[in-house]
Amino acid sequence: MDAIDNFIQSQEFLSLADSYLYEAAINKVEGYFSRLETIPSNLARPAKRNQVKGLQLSSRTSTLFDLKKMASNQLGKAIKRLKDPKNDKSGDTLFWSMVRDLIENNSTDQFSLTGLAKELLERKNNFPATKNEQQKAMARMIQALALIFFEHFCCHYYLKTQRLPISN
Amino acid sequence: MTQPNILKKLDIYLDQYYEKSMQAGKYLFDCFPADKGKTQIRNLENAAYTAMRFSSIINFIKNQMGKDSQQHPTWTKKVEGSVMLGDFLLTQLEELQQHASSLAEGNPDNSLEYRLYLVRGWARQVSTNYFYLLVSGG
Repeated sequence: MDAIDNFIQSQEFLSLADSYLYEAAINKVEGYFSRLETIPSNLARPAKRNQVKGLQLSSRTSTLFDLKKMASNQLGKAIKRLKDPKNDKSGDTLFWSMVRDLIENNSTDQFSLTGLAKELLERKNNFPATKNEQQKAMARMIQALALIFFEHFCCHYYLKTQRLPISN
Repeated sequence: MTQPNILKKLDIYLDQYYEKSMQAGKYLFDCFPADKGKTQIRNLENAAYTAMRFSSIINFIKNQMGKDSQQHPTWTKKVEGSVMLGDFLLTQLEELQQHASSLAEGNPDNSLEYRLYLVRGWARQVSTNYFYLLVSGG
C-alpha cells in the first residue's frame, strides 16, 4: 500500500488532479447544465446545493460503496418524486444518475472514477497479486480520486448555480 | 527544486504582473467591507500558501462565489462592467497558469511547481495591497 500512498502524494498525481481530473469535472458539470435545457422547464430545476454539499462531504469520508449507495438512494427518491409518467427525467434524476455513472459505469469510453483508478494502478504496475490486496488498493485509489474530483465538481457546480437567474 | 534561472524568470514575471495584482487588491478592497474582508483575504492567502494543487485556489474562489449572498454580494460583486470579482481573479489565475505552463515546456511536474510559485507571489501582492488600502483608507 506504501507504493500507492507514495503515488497519491507524487507530483504526477497532483498534476493529474490539476489537469485531467479538473477538466473532467468541469465538463461533467457543464454537460449536466446543457442536458437540463433538453427537458421540460418545470422539471429542469438543478439539484439543490445542499444535496451537492452532502455529496462533497461524503466524498471526503465515505467508501466507494457508500458513495454508490448514496447516489442510488438519491436517484431512487428523485424518480419517486416524478409525478408525470410521461416524463422520466428531472434535474434531480439527471444529477444522481450522472453521479452514479461517474463513480462506476460499464462503458469503457466513458469517464468513471473506478475506471480511472484501475487504469492508474495498472499503468503504474501497482496492481497487487492477491484479490484482497487488489480491493484495498482500488479502494485507496478511488478514495483519493473521488476526494479531488468531487471538490472540482462541486465547486464548479456552486459557481454555476450562483449564475442562474434564480439561485437555489 | 526550481532552478535559479527559472526562479528569476518567475520573479520577473511577478514583477511585470504587479500592476494587475494591484488592481485585484483594489477590487477586493472595493468589494469587502473591512470587518468581513480581513478574514476572507487571509483565507485566500492561506489557500495559496498551503495549496498542494493549483486548482485548490481556483476551487476556493468558486466555492466563495457559490456561497455568496445575492443581496449583499462580495465575491460576485461586479467590478468591471458585468465581470464579477471572482471571475476577475479567476482570469488572473488563468494567466498565471498559462505562463507557468509555457515556462515548463510540457513538463507537468515543473508546471505545477511554477504555478504554485506564481500563485503564492500573486496572493502576497494582492493581499498586501488590500491591507495597505485598508489602513490608508483607499
